[in-house]
Amino acid sequence: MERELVERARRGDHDAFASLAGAAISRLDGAAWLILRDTEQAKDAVQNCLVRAWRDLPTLRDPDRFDAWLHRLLVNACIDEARRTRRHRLDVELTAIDIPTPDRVSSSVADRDQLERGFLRLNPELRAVIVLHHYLDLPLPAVADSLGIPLGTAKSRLHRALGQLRAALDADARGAIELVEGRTA
Amino acid sequence: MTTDDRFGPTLSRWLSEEAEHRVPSHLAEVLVHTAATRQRPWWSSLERLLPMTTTTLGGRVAAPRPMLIFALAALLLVAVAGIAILVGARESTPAPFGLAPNGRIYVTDATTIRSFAADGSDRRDVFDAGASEIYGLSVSPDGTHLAFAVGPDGATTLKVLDIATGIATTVPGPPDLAGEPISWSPDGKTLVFAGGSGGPGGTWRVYTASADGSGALATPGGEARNAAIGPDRDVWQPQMSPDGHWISFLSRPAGSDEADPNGTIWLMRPDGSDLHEVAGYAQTPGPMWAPDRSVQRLLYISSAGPTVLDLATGTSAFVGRGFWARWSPDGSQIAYWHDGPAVVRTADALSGRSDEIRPFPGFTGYCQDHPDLTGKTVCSPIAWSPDGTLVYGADIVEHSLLVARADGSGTPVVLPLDNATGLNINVAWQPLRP
Repeated sequence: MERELVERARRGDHDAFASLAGAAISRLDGAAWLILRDTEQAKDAVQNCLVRAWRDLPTLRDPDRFDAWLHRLLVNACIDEARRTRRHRLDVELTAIDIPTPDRVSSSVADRDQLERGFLRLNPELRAVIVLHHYLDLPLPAVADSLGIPLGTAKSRLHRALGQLRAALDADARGAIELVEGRTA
Repeated sequence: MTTDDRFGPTLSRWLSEEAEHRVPSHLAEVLVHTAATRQRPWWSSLERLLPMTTTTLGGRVAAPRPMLIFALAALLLVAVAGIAILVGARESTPAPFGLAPNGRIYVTDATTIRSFAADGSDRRDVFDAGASEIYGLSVSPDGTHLAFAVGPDGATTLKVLDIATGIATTVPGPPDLAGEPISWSPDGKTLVFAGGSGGPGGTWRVYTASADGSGALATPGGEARNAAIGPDRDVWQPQMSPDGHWISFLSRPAGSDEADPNGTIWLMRPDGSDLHEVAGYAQTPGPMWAPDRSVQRLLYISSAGPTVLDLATGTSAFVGRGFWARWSPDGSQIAYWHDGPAVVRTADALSGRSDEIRPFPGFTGYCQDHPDLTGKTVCSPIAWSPDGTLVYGADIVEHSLLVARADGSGTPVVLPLDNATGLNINVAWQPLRP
């Protein structure tokens, strides 16, 4: 069904493209928001992605690769958006650090807060590889395909991205423990 | 939460909940824009004009050759390999790894390898890969060559660069290469690395290749090794022991996430024989051999944190909480990540003490700005200079490398890079050998 829609859209059928976009936009919005953490930027990135998808669809050789191609366009659009305002956003992200209070440390709320803070500290490229694998549930070969990189590089990037996320969680956990023990982090 | 097996599912659940309904519906707005956009004609892309098989293989299509030539070449290679094994078996490996004077620092900066003098001055460009990303950088034990992978979309090439001449040789490699540093045999003649057979579902194996580009790509143990480890498992960071008698590596379920604790540590002979498991509950990256060949120890990340496994006794010693652990060049210290970069003396760690030194004292916590280096952060694995007095880490935000004294004194030196995204800042510090 999707292949047929892609082939029709590739021949200029805008209704077919509207169906494809309608089916994809929710997950694209979610992924863009996770990568950019900004509603307006996420909207812009998804719009740019879909406009480019429509514009360049006739040049897509293999209709079965539409999803991977769309994910690649989305990640590129997100990184373009992030670069546009990179300096400002990094300043904000690196200073807005909230050490958890001790009573939250072992709760699920604390877990969510820690993940939130850790994820915010990753740059958009690293967020993208996590989002593709852990939000869109793409297996690593599909992540590599979506990012246009070799599988080994995709493995390495995911390894580093999750390592840095763990580093953030580790630092948070230690900060909380030291607060409990009466020391400053 | 940082190391147990709840991490992957917790992360996925959190991402799904976070993403839900964050962006108000804007499909109609998008479709207005697309309807007003003219499509590019199909012939405007060169790719559509090429045969499918050519583009799928990324230009790596070999011209067909007569089978006879292949058979003769294979026989010749087998003969050469046999002679090499016979000759190599009689050769002794060079002196064990240890402290050495610091040579130049080589670092990947996206598509370029740059180098700096040991004090951070005298920046030079030593290799430009055009538009392709460089990764897996490592330096040979004698400090004369660099090994690295160059990755155009979908196909990677393994290179060895002669530092003195600047000439890069292509070494036979698989279509996919893992991103971790390429390992060298102690005599510097063989490269050991993990790679994939290409394409979705490709099997990941341990590969070896001659560092001078001669000979064929080898898979120690071949399919028998893969069958013994188990189906659907990935191989991570193979490394040859300092005495050259073993290859270690981590195996874990294919596609599992970073914190999956179900990795297993394996050993095998360089020819693939004597394959056996030595530890379980391991995480990435793979195990690292203690540089001192007089002891047979592996440093790996267990589900509890950095752990030293003594192969002679089969006993394990817990180093501390954390990850990203690295031996110092003489094995007397271990650097790892625990609330920022930390260093412990190996003897202390093995005796149950863990008095941590903070080599970057201004960088407590994750990605905190250094008070004397505004905007500079250290957010990466920490590794060592050849003389064991300095450690370095990558600043993933400001695209630079920071070098500090391992004892925590002084202020870090900043080595600026241009294009590194923070994803692939690989460093190889050249040891100077007599």
